[in-house]
Amino acid sequence: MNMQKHHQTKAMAILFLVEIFILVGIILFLKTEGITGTILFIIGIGGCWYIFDRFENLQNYLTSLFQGERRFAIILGLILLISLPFFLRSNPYLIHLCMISGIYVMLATGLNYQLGSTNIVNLATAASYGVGAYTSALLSVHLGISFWLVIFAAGAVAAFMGFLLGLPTTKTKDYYLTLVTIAFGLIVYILLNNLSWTGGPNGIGDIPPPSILGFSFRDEIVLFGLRLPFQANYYYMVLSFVLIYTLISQRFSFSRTGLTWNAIREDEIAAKCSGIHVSRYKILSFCINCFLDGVTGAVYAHYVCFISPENFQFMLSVMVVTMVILGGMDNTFGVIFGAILLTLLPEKFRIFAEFRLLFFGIIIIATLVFRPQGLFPQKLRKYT
Amino acid sequence: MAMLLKTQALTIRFGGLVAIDNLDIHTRRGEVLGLIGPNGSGKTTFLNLITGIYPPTKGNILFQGENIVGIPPFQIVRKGIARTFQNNRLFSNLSVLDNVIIGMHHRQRSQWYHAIFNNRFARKELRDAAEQAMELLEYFSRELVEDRYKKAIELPQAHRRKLEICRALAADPQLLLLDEPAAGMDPEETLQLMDDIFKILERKPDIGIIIIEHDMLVIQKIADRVVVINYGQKIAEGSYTDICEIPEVLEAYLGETEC
Repeated sequence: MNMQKHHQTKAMAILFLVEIFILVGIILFLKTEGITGTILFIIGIGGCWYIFDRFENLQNYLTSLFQGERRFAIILGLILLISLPFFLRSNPYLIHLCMISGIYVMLATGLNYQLGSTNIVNLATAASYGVGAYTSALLSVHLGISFWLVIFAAGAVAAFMGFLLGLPTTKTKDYYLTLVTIAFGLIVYILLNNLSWTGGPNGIGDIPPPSILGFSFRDEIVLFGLRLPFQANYYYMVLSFVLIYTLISQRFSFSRTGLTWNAIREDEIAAKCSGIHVSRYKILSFCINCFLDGVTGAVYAHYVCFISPENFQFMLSVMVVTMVILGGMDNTFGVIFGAILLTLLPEKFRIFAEFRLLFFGIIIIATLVFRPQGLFPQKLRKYT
Repeated sequence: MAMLLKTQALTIRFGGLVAIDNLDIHTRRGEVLGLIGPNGSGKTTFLNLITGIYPPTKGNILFQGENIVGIPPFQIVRKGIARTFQNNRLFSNLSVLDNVIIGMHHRQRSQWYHAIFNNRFARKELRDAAEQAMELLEYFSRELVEDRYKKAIELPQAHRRKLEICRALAADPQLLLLDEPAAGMDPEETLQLMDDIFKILERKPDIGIIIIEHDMLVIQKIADRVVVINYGQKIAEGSYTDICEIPEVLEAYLGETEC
């Protein structure tokens, strides 16, 4: 009994140290300026990843610790994530970066249902994200509907669009399907640019910020006697969305649906001959991904309060695809890691902004050549 | 015994090539039908027609009295026909256990929204599936049970075949189609395979099996009846000893087997 108690304390201590280490790492990384510091940091992250990846015992040990003290680890993690803005409150831009990372995490976990689980290379993320953003903006600007209702409308409209986009899957697959999604993304971009009621290239401005019980998200927030910049409100909102998305993603991956998607990814013919309605499950993955993208778009639109077609270009789809490929196909935490890393790095290398596309191209090629399963490969399901 | 599958004038043309030509084949419950013929004679095409992968140009496929022509593959599994493939088509990066659980797909009922709300019924269904899968694996091989959390691609060839058979059986079929299960196996593994097929019959005595095989020893030992096809046409039918004496069969097979 005493031994058990001792083990438990030790496990908690180690988890505590690991989580603090990660949080401090994130804060320091956010605060680093200049190329040298950033490169040193990348080497550090690479080193940590290498050690984690190389030593399977370490991986298993940490996983078992986490599973043993699940509740403790999650609560501690939550406290640390909630405390993050307090460390960054002198610099609202850094909180903004955290919030944008969260937006990309949401997009990437959404795309993971397609790219990671089902191997559908959907390059229309920008389209579904844009449709969500525009739907929510139009509804709240013209009809004055509350943000909290509008996000569901945005998700629903985007999901319907995803359903339409998914219909060709009954006839096409692989590269051809990807081409369909690219074409679709371009069509949406052109429509947003040319329709009169979307405001054309000028976009939509004056989108009202969300509010709870009269408290507008554009006001500074005072928590525990400390004044935080208004970005913190959005950070907390995005954090809660990220947690919900992660939870859903975890649940899907350990369900009949997730398993079925994986079967389609591995071998479509064999999946058909095992009784799987392949088209139905593919369309389902389109709908779920686009719903989540639509909600994300609404959150983004109500954060920046001004959207234009420029926010929803093809480049964005490529970025989200890169995040999923680098992070790890169908590994929720890998995808989150990829999304955060690839949001922060370009910000740190702002002076090379013109090379952004090149940078993402290199990452995709390098990952596919050297490590096609991504930095954090999918874990096998365990049944107890 | 009751008629399980019956094809009537089954024909498929690929452009100018008639791959299956007016084929009438039938099989009964509890019977192992051996389907043999030289390479390219249309054996695998025949299985692809039955499982709905190709639609036939003409003809009927009656399964338990119902015409299943035009039904998509995933529904044919629901009717009770499961198969294995000539070159394994396992879900390579999924575990052995997951492969078998996917075989039970059409018998499961939980939906995507159950996953979101972590529904108790859905969790139980998955747990039960894992239990049934373990039971099935256990029946055929201890090694597969030990390797249940290995990726399918990491298994040796003989085990992959066995796993593919388990996956097909997980669908609880009335008719099992085996496409060259002994290909690439050494004599000992082949013996093991025959043993496994007898085990299937022991477990489900009223299942029908159609087996395509080049290894005549396997056909001789396990097939109750043999159909020989060449150029998509049936050239002989009967017990193994009967067909061995038919000159056309010997001619078609000349140099391939010494019957």
